[in-house]
Amino acid sequence: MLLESASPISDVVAAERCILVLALLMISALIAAVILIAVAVLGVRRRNAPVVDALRRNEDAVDADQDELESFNAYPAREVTEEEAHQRLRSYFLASISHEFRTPLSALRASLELLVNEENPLDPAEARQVLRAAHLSLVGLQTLIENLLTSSAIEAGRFSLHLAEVDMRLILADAVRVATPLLERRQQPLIVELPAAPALVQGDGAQLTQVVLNLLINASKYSPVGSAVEATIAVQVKEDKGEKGARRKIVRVAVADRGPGVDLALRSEIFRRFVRGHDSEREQYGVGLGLYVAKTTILAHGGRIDVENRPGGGALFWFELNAL
Amino acid sequence: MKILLVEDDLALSDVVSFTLRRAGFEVIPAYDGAAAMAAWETTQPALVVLDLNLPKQDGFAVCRAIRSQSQTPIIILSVRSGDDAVVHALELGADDYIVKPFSPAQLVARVRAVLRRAGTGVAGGQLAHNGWTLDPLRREVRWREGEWLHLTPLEARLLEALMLNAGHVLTADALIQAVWGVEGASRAMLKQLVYRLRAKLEALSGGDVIETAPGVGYAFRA
Repeated sequence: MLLESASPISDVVAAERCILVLALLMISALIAAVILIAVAVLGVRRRNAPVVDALRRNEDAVDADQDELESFNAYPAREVTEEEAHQRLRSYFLASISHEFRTPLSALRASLELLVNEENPLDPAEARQVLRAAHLSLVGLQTLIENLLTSSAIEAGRFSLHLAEVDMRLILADAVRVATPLLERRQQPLIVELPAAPALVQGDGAQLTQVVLNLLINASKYSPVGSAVEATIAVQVKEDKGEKGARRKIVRVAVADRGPGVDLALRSEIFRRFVRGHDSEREQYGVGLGLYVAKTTILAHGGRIDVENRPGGGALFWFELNAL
Repeated sequence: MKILLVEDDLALSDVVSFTLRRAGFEVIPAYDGAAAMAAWETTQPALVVLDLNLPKQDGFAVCRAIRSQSQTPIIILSVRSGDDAVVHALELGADDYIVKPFSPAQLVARVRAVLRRAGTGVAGGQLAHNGWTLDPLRREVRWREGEWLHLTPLEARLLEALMLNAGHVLTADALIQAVWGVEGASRAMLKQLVYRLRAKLEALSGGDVIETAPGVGYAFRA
């Protein structure tokens, strides 16, 4: 009998216990985060001066559309009607946040209860199956929490970048690692095209990883099961619109899917807070923060971000940053 | 016994499917309201587990559409805990309402209770059929008022699947899925498991209650 304690099954059970403790700690932290975020989202008035300043410091260096920047909803001084529209979106957000948190929490709770049930224990293969579902739920929660925290930091005027020299190829690799459980579950192969040399930019690695992750998760969620998601990084030389004849090197990151594509007339809308693609068809649920966070982050880096539809169907989201 | 599971969250759908399959049910997953209606029409499940917040057609609409055509039991599984949603769902004809997060054991117990009320012979967490009683949680079986006999987890799951479908042949693939889940197993492993279970049950009652349908599967015929 003592030998059984050293068996692989016992190892799996011991590992499950560790996972359980970690997961419970994480869930406790999540609940605290929800409370803090709800307070932040509801209670903070918009004070965006640091973000605005950061963006304006960069505006000479980029060819971002100034009109679009000024209409971007991170900025204060909205008209009353727009404020009302924002309030409606905020109300929708509060209604959907319950669904977005409690659903993955349900999967986590159910998974953990199955794993710790000593009366009817899982065999190792079953445990792996349940852990995969728990892992997938954690990816969703992690992404949601990161976007909520970034969004509330923007709203509170506390959004800032920690700049360093980063290789966008490594940023993409980090984001892919996080998104892999979702891509695998939806049986979506990821096709990656990278330059041979480092694609260096001056950027905040964590924030840029979140941007790429948001684009990957959107591509996966809106694409049919089994269809490929494509991620491309290219270093290009472009003409500088600000100075005739001048040229500059940029790093372009693109994520393409085979989903329903985007209504291009509304493409500036989908980067706004609490707005989700394909609301009318209710294709997917979500709180509508991913693209808002992506756009704010890229603009704060002095870059550009946009979307276009692909020949043959699907959307291609891209952003560009100045290369080092 | 087929259960249609309508849940748009992939991870939660996977966990609930696993839970129900382990309890001996055959699960048909659907990830949006439109797919749920298509699956309901083609598979005619014994019960529907239904989320409310669904893409394309919400759970209320699915509940209303099913209830307008049949009395298939429906259990709502939703994050909405307010009276409005609960009352509305029950008024539309839902048979039970479970708020997320939930316990898998509670879900299985509620499924069995609703099936029992619908007349499928599932009793108090135990399965009973013609003198045989199985307690799936304790993994024990007994014949009439005799002693309880302990079963292994695999044997208990096999017997649960067979008793839930008593009198009907279950295919080997369906039994493998019910017992081993998506990880699967070979038909030889199933054959061995049936052999062991059959021997244990025969020792209790003196008769063979697991009928072999050659090339197809097995049935519980007590």
